[in-house]
Amino acid sequence: MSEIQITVENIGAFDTQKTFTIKKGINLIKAPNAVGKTSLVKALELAILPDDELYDKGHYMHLFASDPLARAIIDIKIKDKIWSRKFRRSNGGLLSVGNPFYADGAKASIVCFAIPENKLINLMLSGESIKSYIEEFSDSRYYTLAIEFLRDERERSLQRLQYYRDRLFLLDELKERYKKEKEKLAELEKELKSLPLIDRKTLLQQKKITTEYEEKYRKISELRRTLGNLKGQLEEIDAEIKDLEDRIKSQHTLIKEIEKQHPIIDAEIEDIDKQLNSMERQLKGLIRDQGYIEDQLKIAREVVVKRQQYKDKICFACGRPLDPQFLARRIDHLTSRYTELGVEIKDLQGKIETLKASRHALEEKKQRLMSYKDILREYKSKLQEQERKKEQVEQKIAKLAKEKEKFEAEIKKLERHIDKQIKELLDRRTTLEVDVETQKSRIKTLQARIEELIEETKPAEKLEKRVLFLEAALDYLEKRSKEILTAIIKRFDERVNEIFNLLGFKEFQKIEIDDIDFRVHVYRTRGGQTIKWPLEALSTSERITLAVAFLIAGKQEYLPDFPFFVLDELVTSYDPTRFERLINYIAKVTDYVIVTALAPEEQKEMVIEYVRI
Amino acid sequence: MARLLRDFEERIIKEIKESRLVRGELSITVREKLQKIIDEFSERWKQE
Repeated sequence: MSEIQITVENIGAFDTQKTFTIKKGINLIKAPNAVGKTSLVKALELAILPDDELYDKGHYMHLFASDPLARAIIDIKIKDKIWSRKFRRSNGGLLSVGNPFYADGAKASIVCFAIPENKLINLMLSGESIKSYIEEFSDSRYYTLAIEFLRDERERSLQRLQYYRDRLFLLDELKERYKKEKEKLAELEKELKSLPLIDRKTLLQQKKITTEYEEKYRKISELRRTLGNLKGQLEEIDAEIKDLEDRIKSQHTLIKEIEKQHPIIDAEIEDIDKQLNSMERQLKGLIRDQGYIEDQLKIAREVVVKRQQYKDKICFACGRPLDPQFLARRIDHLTSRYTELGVEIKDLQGKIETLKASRHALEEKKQRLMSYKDILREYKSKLQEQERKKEQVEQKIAKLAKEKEKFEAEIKKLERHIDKQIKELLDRRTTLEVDVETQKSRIKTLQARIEELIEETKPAEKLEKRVLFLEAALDYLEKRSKEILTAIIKRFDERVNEIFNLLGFKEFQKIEIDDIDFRVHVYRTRGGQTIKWPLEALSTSERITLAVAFLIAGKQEYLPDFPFFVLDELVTSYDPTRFERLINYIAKVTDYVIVTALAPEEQKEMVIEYVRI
Repeated sequence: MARLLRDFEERIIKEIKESRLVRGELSITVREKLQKIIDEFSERWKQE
């Protein structure tokens, strides 16, 4: 791979088809303004960007004709193989046909294009944390999203689990009662068995009990047993009703608690959404203003470059005579306005984040409220069912009680003739028989409730394991995320220090990324002492050199096979000697280095000078 | 256990990586897919 041909059509300054040859080594693209240096660099960036980035990155739109049917083409020819991609405008973004030239194009566009729009260069110029940069081309941001998702899931699972825990507690109670009731039944049956049997013949002979008495006695015993059974059922229904009423009460308390804090939760969320929308609009405005200041700054810096390189006396932008002091003041003013806007943007972003967190918390409460209301509905419907059952049982009891009363009156008349001892024995037997029946019915109802609860709480075990797994997974992913970030920081630190040493840049003892706030700082020796310096204390040139060193380190570590590295003149113009060394270093580790340089207006055409290392 | 967590990490990160984010957040479809992965791994976790 020694020569690459890049053909562009309908992109930026190229309204007709143009082909450029890029050779191995340093390609110095020289041209005056508005001839196509930036268009060529952007075309190369467009060639590698994935489709979703193309659609999202509105700032490429100006490179394309406003006619939605107009097609733009980028062809890259390497040896005999041609790679091609076509673009056209669509609503709000760009659509493309053909795959990106490089599979990891999103990362390559961030790491290998040292142009004024580069994210890292801008973060380091304003002395901000470079975490978002590190996250963008490492997997760390996916870990952040995964951890947030797992936390939400754990919270939701815990809420559901709380309901099941209550039911499981009740199940334990019922099982305990079941055991006791069974013991009681065994005692009653034992006593019944121990009663002496009464011989019918003796009874008839001795106590002159008629057949009528015997029949009535049998009937009344049956009635008493049925009544005992029904009363047992009623007791269990009452216990269930009481339990449900307690649960309904506690559910109401939980709901009231949230409703007291947030009477109209939806309105609160809506209000936050309104605030968020307004802040986001405000943020867009600030970013637009910052972009405008950045453009002004770019022009001012370009004027300085022109003045230094071509000794221009008149400003190419406004036509006024060039005053170096005025220019320095203007650059200072624009830089400080740019920084001010940066602070305002950061402040607003912080407020937006806080609001988003409040919104998230409210959404969680809303979810909780809804789940409480669902549980309440369930309890209420169960209560209604039990009350219906109770009514039916009570009706049956009332009917049977009347019948029993009638028989009892009749039996009382007949009992006058029965021996007192025999009567007591008979009464005890009947009472015991009724108690046994009541106990059996109670146990049967209890058993049904236990089975129902076992069925209902079946998902609890699964949920419990899910929570345990989520906790272990969260712990593991948090550790892994930290490890990944620490490893990236370590690799960057080593690589950047190595690059600085190899280039012979001696001004810093050490360069380091803080592993807590992710800001870059350097160590310098002053008066025999090594002092830690923040990025803000360095000159613009030093900050840009550092940023480019970080970009090179990123390329070497993560994209060693990407064949290009682009450096814009506005980045290199601050310290030409230092950047010449940097470019030579990049050429040793990259096949094709593309450097743009401003040429005098008289040149008119774009020229590529090739420098082989 | 450690291997299971590593497998889980690989699956979940791959799924997020390959999905399209909506305003930097996970879409409902992706969330549903992730929930299924969690269910699958919780089951395996239980067995181990």
